[in-house]
Formats: sequence, structure tokens, C-alpha cells
Amino acid sequence: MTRPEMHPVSRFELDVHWSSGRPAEATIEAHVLACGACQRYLAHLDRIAAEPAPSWNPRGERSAGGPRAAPWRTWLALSGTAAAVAFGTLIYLRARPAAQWGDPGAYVGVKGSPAVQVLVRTSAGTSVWDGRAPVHPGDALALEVAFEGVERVAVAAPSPHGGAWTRLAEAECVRAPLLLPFTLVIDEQPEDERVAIVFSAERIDDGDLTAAIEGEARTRDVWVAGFVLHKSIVKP
Amino acid sequence: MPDSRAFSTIYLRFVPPVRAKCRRLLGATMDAEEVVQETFVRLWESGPDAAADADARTVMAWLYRTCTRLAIDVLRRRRRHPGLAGEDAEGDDASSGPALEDAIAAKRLVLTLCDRVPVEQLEAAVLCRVDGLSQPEAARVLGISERTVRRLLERLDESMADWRKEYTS
Repeated sequence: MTRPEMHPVSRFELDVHWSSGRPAEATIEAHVLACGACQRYLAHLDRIAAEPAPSWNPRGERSAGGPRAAPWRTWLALSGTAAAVAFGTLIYLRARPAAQWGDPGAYVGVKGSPAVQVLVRTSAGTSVWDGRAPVHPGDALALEVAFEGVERVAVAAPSPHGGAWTRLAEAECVRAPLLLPFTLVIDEQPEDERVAIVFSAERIDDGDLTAAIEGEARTRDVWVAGFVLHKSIVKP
Repeated sequence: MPDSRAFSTIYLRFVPPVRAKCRRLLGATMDAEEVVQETFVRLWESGPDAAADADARTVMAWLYRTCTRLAIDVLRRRRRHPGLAGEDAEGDDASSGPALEDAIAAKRLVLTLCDRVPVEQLEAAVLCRVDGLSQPEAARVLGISERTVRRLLERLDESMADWRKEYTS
């Protein structure tokens, strides 16, 4: 078989360079700036990075001694109506008004506004979060949204270093209800979990995302819904 | 319990190149996506703190090795069950002309021989011929010597020649 002509920089090196944030001082960056093929490949990685990605779910369902289950299939498969029904009755908790961030209890929202349902999966099964019950380390949360007139939805959490919010997942609002390709697994850190769901007419960048969340935006173009999930380390 | 938030950062940082790699071989299919996820599940299970402390090259080598093996498993499964075959792999953007043709030929080689030769030869072929790594790079990723990589590729080419003889006779 013909040996391929080696490009001076391999995809492996480009992958390392890209995942390192493309430091300008790296030798490889000088090559990239002069090489159309490498630029195309890095642009390809940028496009992939912009795709909605299933969120990281470290709670694998490994059965000891048995065939390994594919935990992500559970969440990836749950994008169809049938799978959504598997989570039980589609009773929606209206998103909390921004002013009530942190207040317990459901409330009546404005007809036509986006709505979010939080589904909690524990060892005992899956249930709709009632807006009050604490979550526990190891619980896995999924989000189902209903919307009118918005194109995109993003999920964010506070950055561990403070300041900006971190975009954890995003999706196009192609049909409602939409089970987001996202799982939040509750860790053992003591602080409560804060999650923001941002509905928008078009994709907004990270700076605008943080500004929208902190400004508790509720406009035609950007709508923020937030949850504070109180955490308990006492097993239920 | 490991810090899942810190690992989420690692995950988001390395998912795009791993996804690109898996799609090179498996196409933009659910199989490719599952290989991506399984790769990171294994990284998590192997100790995410080590990943957080390691440099990008070390982490990428580990991810390359793991997803290559998992992707080959998928190809073998597809061969055994043709009804489950995924779409033909798409070329990625960076390839064009002879490089793209070589990559396509390399994929066909791997697909043809995936159930006939040892997985080590297929790994070397995927890394060097589909992903375009140099032999020293492939050796580092696989944790073997360059000489071994060279021998694996030679044996693979011999197997291909034998297969051609059988096929045309």
C-alpha cells in the first residue's frame, strides 16, 4: 500500500495544540498560520466544539461481572417523545421567576414563557423534582424544557473559580418538550447546586451568557431560568 | 469522590479532537459518539485526578490509544453483523487530494482486515495511516517501540497482500 506523504505536523500534534488553547508562543502555531490544511483542521475542531455535546455523566452503570452497560445511551436515547414519557407524567414546574431564585415552591408562570422540568434520578428510580426536596451526592439530574419562539437553550453553572458562568451544554430548540442532552451528577462538595437555563433567539457568547444570567434576563430574545438545588449529605 | 466539575473541564477540552478522530474511522454515527463517551468514562474510572495533573500530550495519547481500540471493536462488530454497519466514514476537512485518498485507502484496509489480523496491527494502521501519526508518535501513543510499530505495519501489509491474492484467485 502506498505510504501517505507525511505532513510536517500530525493531527495528534494539532489536537494537542488545539486542546491546549493554541498558545501563540508554540512553534506549531507559526506553522499553522502558514498552512491552509492545518487551519482547516483546527477550524474543523472549532466547529465540533460548537456542537451540542452530551454532558459528562460519570455515573456509569457498571454491573460487576456482567457486560458493560453504556450509561450515556440512557441520556442520548432520551431525546424522543417515547423516552420522555418514560420519565413519567409531563407535569411542568414553571421556571422560577428571577426574583425568586432560591425560593422553594412552584409558582404559576406566564402563559407562553419557557418552562423547565427537573428530573432526578436516584438509586430508587427517577422522579420529577418538586422544587423543594434536597438532592444527594450521586443523584443525576436531567432537564426537560418547553418553549415557544426561542431557537436555542443553554445550561450553565457557576464557574468554580468565581466570576463567569460555565456553559455546560446547549441545544437547538427543535421540538418541545425537549430533553436536554445534559446530565448533572451531584458531587460531595457541600455547597448547593446552582443551575441556569438560558433560552435565546440565537446563540450568545460566553460573556453575554454570564451577563444574561447575572442580570436575570427576561426579554423576548433572552430568558433565564434558574434553580438552586439544596444538597443533603444524609442519605434518603 | 473525584471532582466531577474539574473533570467536566477536561472532558470539554478534549472531546472535540477525540470526536474528530472517532468520526474519521466510524463516520458521524452514534457508534462514534458512543466510543467518545466510553473513552471518557474509562478515563474517569482510571482516575480523573491524574488526567487533571498530566500535560495535554499525555492525556491525548491516552485518549488516542483508548478510542482507537474501542473504534476497532466497533468495526469488528460491524463486520460480524453487517446489518449494523454505520455510514461510510466522512473525510474531515483537513484532508484533500492525495492525503484524502490515502486516508480513504487506509480506512478500507482496516475495514477489510479488521477481523483477520491482530488488533495491534490495526491500531498501528489506524494511527499511522488513518490519523497520519508518524511512527515515533504512534509508538509513544501505544507505549511500544518504533521498531515494533514498523513491524506491525509490515505484517499488516503482508496480510493485505495475502488477502488480495485470495480475493483475486
